Amino acid sequence: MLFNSIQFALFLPIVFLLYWFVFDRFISKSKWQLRLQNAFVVVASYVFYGWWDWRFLLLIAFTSFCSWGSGMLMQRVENQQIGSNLTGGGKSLEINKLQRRKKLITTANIVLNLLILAIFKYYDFFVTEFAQLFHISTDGLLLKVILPVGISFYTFQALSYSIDVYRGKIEPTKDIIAFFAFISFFPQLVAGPIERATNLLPQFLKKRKFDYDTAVDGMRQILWGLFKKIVVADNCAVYVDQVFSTYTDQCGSALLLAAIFFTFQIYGDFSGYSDIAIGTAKLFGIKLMRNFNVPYFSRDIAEFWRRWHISLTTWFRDYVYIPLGGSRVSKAKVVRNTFIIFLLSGFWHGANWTFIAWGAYHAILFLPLILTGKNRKYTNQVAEGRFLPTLKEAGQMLLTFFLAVFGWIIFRAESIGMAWEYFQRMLQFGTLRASYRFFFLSGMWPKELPEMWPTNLFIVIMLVVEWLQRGKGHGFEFLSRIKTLIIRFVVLVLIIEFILIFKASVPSQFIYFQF
Amino acid sequence: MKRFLQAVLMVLGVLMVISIPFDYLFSNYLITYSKAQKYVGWNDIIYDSINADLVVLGSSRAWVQYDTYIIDSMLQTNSYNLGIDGSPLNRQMLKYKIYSHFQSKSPKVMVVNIDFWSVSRRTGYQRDQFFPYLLNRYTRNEFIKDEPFSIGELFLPMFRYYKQGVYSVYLESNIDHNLFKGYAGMDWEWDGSGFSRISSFHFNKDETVAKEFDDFLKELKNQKVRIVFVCAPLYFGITKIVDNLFEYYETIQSYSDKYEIPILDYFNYYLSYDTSYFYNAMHIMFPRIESMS
Repeated sequence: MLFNSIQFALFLPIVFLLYWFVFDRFISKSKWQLRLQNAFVVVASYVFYGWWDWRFLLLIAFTSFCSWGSGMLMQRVENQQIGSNLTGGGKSLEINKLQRRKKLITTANIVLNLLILAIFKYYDFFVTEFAQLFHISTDGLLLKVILPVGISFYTFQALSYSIDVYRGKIEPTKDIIAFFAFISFFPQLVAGPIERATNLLPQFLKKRKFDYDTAVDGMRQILWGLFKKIVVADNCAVYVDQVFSTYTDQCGSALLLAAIFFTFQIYGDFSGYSDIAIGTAKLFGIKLMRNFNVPYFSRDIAEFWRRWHISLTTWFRDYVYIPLGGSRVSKAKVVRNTFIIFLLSGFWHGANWTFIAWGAYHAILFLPLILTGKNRKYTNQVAEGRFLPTLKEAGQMLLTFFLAVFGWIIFRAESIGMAWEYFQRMLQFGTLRASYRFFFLSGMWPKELPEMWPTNLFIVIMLVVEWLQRGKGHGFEFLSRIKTLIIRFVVLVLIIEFILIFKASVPSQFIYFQF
Repeated sequence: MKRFLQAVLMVLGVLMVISIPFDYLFSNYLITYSKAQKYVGWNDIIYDSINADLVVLGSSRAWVQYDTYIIDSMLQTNSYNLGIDGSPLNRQMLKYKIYSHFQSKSPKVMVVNIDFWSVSRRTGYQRDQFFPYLLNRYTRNEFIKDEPFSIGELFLPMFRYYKQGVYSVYLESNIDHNLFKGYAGMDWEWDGSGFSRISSFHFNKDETVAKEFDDFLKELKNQKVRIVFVCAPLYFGITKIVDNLFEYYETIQSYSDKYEIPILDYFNYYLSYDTSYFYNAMHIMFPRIESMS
């Protein structure tokens, strides 16, 4: 079920009303109230997911059960450990044995989860690549299975639980229903944010209270997400899809523009999804982590990565980069660690060399910063306390933006060859001159391409709102600061009308669903 | 919670109230100013006085191949092309029904372009062409008999436009098809890609539509409208892969015999063998229609 579909527009209010009125109010005196409410969340989430393909519900249930089971087994080992300490045995040998057992359980769960991910997402890719390398046929070797929507997201969420339990950061939960709700919570099930058990799971273990301000803020965030998705991203997609599918026939300026538009498309699409997810969760009294923080106002690539897909970046930082030694090791190992997380991050997106190349590209951009110790130079908001950035900041933002644009070309291309050719055509001699004619002289716009001024306007609106709201939770937070009810109301209605009027004609699926 | 629900309902209520005049204004804009074929065809027959002596009925082949300018000048008559893109007989008959309701004068002659796709039912395709006319009680009642509309489309103001995006509808409505009395010739290059993907084709006859068409012809006969069946040229590659061509001929022959309707068959006409006349396997390009005439 897509967030921008009629089905979801019906699904959400029904689930919302049942959640608060039936499973909260009417059975509030029951000791089962919380469990029933969580069970309802699981059922609603499974309906949400099963709308796409019900067969893969078994996979989510299996992943959830294995991770919950591993937590329970670790709890049992932990109890044995405590028991052996209490009885004054003090036998370090016994404790080491139990510790090893915990490690084994965690490893087994990680391997199992990664194996499932590998089979569904990467198996065919590896087989094809090996077959090409050794010139053998792939007949009968390929699985050709459909990639379950959101598999990378919920698998990583399940892994974070296992690792955090092993590290003692969180107590394993006995409440299987709460755990299933944690893995499958529908707003973030298919495209994140990839939640940590330490943040989300405890919220399912305590009674939620409806809060008017939070719910209203959630609605506004949903609206902001919808604006970014259906007005900005989907309108950009019309142009981007057309140019990328006929890139060999397009001039350099059209290719450059398509790359810039894709940069906004993927941002509007993914951050829009995250905003809808976070906003929807707020309606249910659940607080999800922030996933984007105005990444295109970053002053260097390191800052960009602190602001882009935060839940994944921090996941790799906490569970891969730091265990490998992070940046507190020799320079050679820092280089190795940086490449590992960026390549893994690229590969996480999909089984294609383009994603790996995209990861490598960012690792190359990131390395000079980390090696010179400048990777944490910009941890505050740009132009903090000022209305406009300085010229230097503006230049830095523009440079970082275009570095990101070039990266997105690799990301969007179907193959490395296509990305290379795209670059060549885009940067060929004369593009700059042609760009001037293309953008500023009338009659230069190719007739077969759609007029883009409305989309340019939407992008400008998004950037202006984000700039003005850059220290806030989301773009429409300013509505809460309008004191007069009538004006607030009118602005809200105008925003909704604007979205309905300018939404793209062809709704596209969220890009990150495929990951 | 109560306060929250009240606020949500209030916003929805205001949106609904705003949408009522907006719907009226936008629909009227499309009716009055749209240049797109999908609206112009309906606008002409509902709001204009056509007074045609000859009408052409058919799908896109009628729409792009029956030049009303040539028909008018050669036959010294007043013709109108009721061709409707991507639509078999269920919609063609509906369009004629709407035409005859709003036009005071019945045509003397009806040319029915009939081909392998005609005797079937199709709904959903380009259904947005009906949207502006859902405010008119008669057209609304006729459209909903044949076309499935959702509750939202029928009862929520602007909902049918919001789905596509109002601005997109507006942009689309400005695409000028240069229609001349319902005719829109296309001057495109040959593209055989669609045709090359088809290896065989079966003439499907929908019995309900066949029966409705029979009633339709009967009614026209009663009204003394002269009917002519035309099998307009199709690229021969299509005709030769129809695995039940005999059934097709049998069907139209049965109507022809029953109502004494002449058939002008151009399937084997010389130009059907030459792609230079077509822009795809099913449509002739307009300069060729001019020269043929």
